[in-house]
Amino acid sequence: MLAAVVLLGACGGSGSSGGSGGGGSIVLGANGGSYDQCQQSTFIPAFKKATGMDVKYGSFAYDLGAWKAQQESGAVEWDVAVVDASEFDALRRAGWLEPLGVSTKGMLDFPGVSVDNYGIASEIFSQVVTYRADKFGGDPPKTWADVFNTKKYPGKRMFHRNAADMGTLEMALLADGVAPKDLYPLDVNRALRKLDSIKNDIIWYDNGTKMVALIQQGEAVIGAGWDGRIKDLQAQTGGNVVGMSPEQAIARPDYWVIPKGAKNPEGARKFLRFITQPKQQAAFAKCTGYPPPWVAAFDHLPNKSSYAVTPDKLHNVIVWNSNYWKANRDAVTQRFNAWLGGS
Amino acid sequence: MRRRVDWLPLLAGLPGCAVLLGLFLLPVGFLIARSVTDPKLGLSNYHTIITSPAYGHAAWTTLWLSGAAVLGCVLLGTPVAYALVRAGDHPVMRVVMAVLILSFLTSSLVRAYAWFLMLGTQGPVVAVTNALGLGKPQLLFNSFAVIVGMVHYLLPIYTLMLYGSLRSIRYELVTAAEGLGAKHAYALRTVFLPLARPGLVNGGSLVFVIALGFFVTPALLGGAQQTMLSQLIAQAVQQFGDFGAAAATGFLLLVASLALLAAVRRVLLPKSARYG
Amino acid sequence: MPGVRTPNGRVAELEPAMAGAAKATASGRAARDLVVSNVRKAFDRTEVLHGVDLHVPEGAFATMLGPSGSGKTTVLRIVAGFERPDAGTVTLGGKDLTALAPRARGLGMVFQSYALFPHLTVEDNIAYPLRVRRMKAAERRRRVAEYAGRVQLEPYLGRYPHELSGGQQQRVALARALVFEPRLLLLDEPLGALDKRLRTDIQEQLKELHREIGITFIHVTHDQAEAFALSTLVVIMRDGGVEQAGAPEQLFHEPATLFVADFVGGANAVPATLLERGVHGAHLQLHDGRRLRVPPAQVAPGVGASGDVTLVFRPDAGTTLASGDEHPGDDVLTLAGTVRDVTYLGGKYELSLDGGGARARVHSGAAAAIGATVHACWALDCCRVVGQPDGGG
Repeated sequence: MLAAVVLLGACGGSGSSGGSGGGGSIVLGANGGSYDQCQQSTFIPAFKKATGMDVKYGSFAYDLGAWKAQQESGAVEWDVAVVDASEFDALRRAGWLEPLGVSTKGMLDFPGVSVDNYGIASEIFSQVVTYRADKFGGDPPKTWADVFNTKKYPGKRMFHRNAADMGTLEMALLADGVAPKDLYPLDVNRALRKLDSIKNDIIWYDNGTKMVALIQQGEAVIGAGWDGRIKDLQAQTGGNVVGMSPEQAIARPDYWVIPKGAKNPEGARKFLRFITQPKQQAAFAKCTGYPPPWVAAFDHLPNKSSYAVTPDKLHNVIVWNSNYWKANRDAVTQRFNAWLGGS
Repeated sequence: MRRRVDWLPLLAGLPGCAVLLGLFLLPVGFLIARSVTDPKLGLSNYHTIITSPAYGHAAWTTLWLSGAAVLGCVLLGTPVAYALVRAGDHPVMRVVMAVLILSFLTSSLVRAYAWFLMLGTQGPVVAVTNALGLGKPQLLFNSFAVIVGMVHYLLPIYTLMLYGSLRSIRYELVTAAEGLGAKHAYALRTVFLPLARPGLVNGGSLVFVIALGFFVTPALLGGAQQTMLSQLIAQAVQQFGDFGAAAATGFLLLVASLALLAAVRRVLLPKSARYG
Repeated sequence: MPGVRTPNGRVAELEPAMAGAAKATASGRAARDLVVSNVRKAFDRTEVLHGVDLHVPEGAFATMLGPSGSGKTTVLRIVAGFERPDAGTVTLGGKDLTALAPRARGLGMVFQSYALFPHLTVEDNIAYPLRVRRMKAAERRRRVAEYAGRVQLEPYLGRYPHELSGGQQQRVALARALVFEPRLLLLDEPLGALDKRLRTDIQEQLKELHREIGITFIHVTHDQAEAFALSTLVVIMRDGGVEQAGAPEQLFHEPATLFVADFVGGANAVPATLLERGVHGAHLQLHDGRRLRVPPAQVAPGVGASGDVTLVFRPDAGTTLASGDEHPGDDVLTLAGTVRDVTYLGGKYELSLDGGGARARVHSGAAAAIGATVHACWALDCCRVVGQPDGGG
C-alpha cells in the first residue's frame, strides 16, 4: 500500500498508454461495473459506427489522486471522463480541465447541470430510500424519517460513509424534520445527534459493490441506495425483493469533463456532442436507470415515472448543494470521521 | 599480508541490490519529501494526523486487528506447518499443501467477498447456529469478521513460510531428547519450539507487516469501528487528492511498524544470532 | 545365513576383559546382559533385518561391525527404542524392553551427528537428561561438573555447540549420554566425523571411560581397526544378519566365513573340494589337482562333511620362497605367480601375485620386480577352510 501510494506520486499514470495520437481514437476514464457496461452497450458502438473513431478505456477516473498524479507528471491518460460533483469542483479549482464547447441547449432545468463550459451533466445521480420489499412490502418506507425509524422498520440500515458526497447528513436532518429549503447550511451537530440514535444499527459502505451486496444479501434491510444500481438490482432479482422510494431523493449531477493536457481534446468534444443527442441519452438512461439531464431524451423513455427526476417533477427531489460542500467539505468530513471512529 | 577481498560476489549482487534499494529508498524519500511539502512546507500534515481522533482510532484499530490476525495465524498455521514437515508425504497433507498454494492465486477481494457470503445473515454459519437453537448472531461488520478475513488471507503465507523454516530443523534432535528421557511433548517444548522460534517470529513479522496494509478486507467485512489506516490513506488520495496527508500517514505507519517489529524481535529473539 | 549364525551359547561364554568393575556392581543379582532375539525389521516392505540374535554380557564393549547397509545401525536403533522391530525381542537383564518407549529404557545414546541442542550451552546440554528427571539443582550441578570433568569439558561449559570443535562436540554428546548413569551406552559411529589422529585420542578416552564407568557399551562402526581397538566383543553384520560374533582375536584367527576373513584382515581365497573329514584333518583337493590336509581346528563350524569349500589364508601368514626351494614340504600350501603389483608396507612388502587361476597377496621381506615369477607358501595350520564365497546369503 505504501509503495503503491508513493509510486503513484512518483511516476503516476505512466503505466497506461496515452495512445490516442491522431484523430483516430479517444481514451475514456473508467467508472467500473454496470456503468461502463451500459456505455459499451449503448452510445460507444453507435459513436464508433457513426464516426469511425475508436474508443478505449483507461484507468479509473473516480480517483482524485490519479488526476493529481497525471497532471503533475504531464502524462495525461484520458481524453474524456465522468467525475462526481465534488471531484469536478476540485478539478475545476485546480485548473485541470479543458473547456468543453458543447451546447447546453435543451438540458433539464436542474441546478448545476452545466458549469462554466467545463462540466456538463452525464446523468442525475440520486440517493434514494431503499428497502427489502420482501420484508416491508406491505407498508413500505417512503421517507428518510422511515429509514431512521427502527421501531417500525427494525433491522440493520446502510449508509455511505463518505458523508460529504453521499448525503448521509442531509438524510439525518430530513429525518429529524428539517424542511428541504432549510437544509443548508447543514446543522452538523443535529445531524450527528440524529445518526447517534441509530448508530448501532448502521452498516457503512464505501462503494457501490458493497452497497448492492448488503441489500441483496439482506445484511441491511433498509437504508440509502443509488437509484441506478438499485434499479439494476430490481431488474436482476424481480421487483419484489428490493424496493426504493423516489420521495426525498437527494440528487445531483455527475459530469463529463475533458482533462487539461488531453491528447485528443477535439475527439473528446466530438464524442460529447454525439452522446448528448436525445436518442443516445435515452438508450444510456434505459440501461443505467439514472435520469438523463436532457429534456428531449425523456421522449424516448417509455417508463418515465420510474426515474427519480423527470422534466415534469423536477422539484420532488432535494438538490444536493455543491456550493455548501465546496466550502465545508474538509471540515465536515473530519468531524464526521471523528464521530464515526468514536464509540 | 593484506586480506584479499573477493569482489565477484559483491559485483554479482550489485544490480539486484541497486534495484531493491531504488525500489525502497527512493519511494520512501519521495514519501518523506511529499509529507512535509504538500500542500505547504512544514509539519502540518503530521500535526493534523497526530491530533486527529479518526487517525488515532484507525492506528489503534490497525495495530490490534493486525496483531489478532497474526495470533490467529500462529495458532492455526503453526500446527499445520508442523504437520506438513512431519507428514508431508501423507495424502491429506498433499491436499493441504495444494490448497495453501492455490489460495495464493485467489484475489483478496474474492476471498473477502466469500467470507461476506459465509458469515452473512443468510450464510451457512448463521444457518447452523440457528438450527442449533443459538439464534442468528451478527457475524459481519465487526472485528471478528475482519480478523477471520485477514487470517484467511495471511494463513497460507505464514504457513508456507514457517514450513520452509521448520523443515531445516533436524528432527533427530527431538529423537535425541526422547532418548535422553524426555516425553514427546517435553521434547517438542524444550527442543523443537526454541529452534522453531526464529521461524515463528519471522513468519509472524511478515504477516504482521502485510496485515498493516490491508484495506479491501476491513472495508468489506468490517464496520466503521474497523477502519484501518490504509483505508484512510486510500481515502486521502482518491477522495481528496491529498498526497501530503497520505504520505505522512504512510510514513508514520512505516516508522511505527518498523519500531514495533524491532521491539518484538528484540524481545522474542534473544541471542538469535548465536546458533545457526 | 542360518548355517553360520553363531549360537548364543558361544558368545555368552566369552569373558569380557574389562568386566571386573561391572561384576562388582552387579553382585547379588542377575547380570544385566543385553539379549536381542530373532529381531526382524522391514522398511517399505523390504526386510533389512532377517532375524538378528545377539548376546552382549554386562560390562562388555561390544561393536557391531559391518559395511553400510548391513543393518548394524538399525539394530542399534531398535535397542534404543527409536525403531520398533516387526518380530523378536530385546531384553536387558531379563527385562523385556521391546514395547518400551526410548525414554522408559534409560539407555544413553551418542548419535553419529552428536545431536547436540544448538540453542543450549554445553552445560545445559549435559544437564538436559537431569532436568528431564527433575533432579534438584544442586545435585544436577554437581553431576554436570563431574561428567564434564570426565571428558575434560570444564572450560567450555558456557559455550554453545557451534563454538566447539568436532572432538569437543563429541565429548559433550558423551557426557550428555552418560550423566544420568544409564544402564547401557549406545554409540552410533561416534568417531566417523573426526580426523584420524583425533579418532585415536578419543578411542583411548572411550576405553578409559568404559573401564571407569563399567556399564555395557554398544558401538557401531564400519571401521575394522576401530572395532578391534575398542572392543571386547565384535559382532560382524552382513546383509541384515549376524555373520559372526566373538572376541577380536577369535574373529581374526578363526573366521567362520570368507566374508569375515576378508573383512577383518583381508584374505586370499582359493576354491577347493573337501574330499573327506577325519580326526587328523580335512582332506582337500585344489582345482589344479593338488591334495592338502588341513588340521581339524582350522575347519570353520558349518562346513559340511564334503563338497565345495574355500581355503582362506592371510597375506601376512605367508612367506616367499627362494628359487630352488619351491617344494618345502607337505604341510604347506605353495602358490606360484607373476608379480603384478608391489606395495611397501613399512619394513616389508606386499606382493600381488597372479597365478593363472588364482590370485594371492603375500608379505615379503624383499621387494620383487614386476613381471617376475615368485613362489610363496603358507603353513597349512594358518589356512582356514570355510564355506563357499556365497554359500550363505
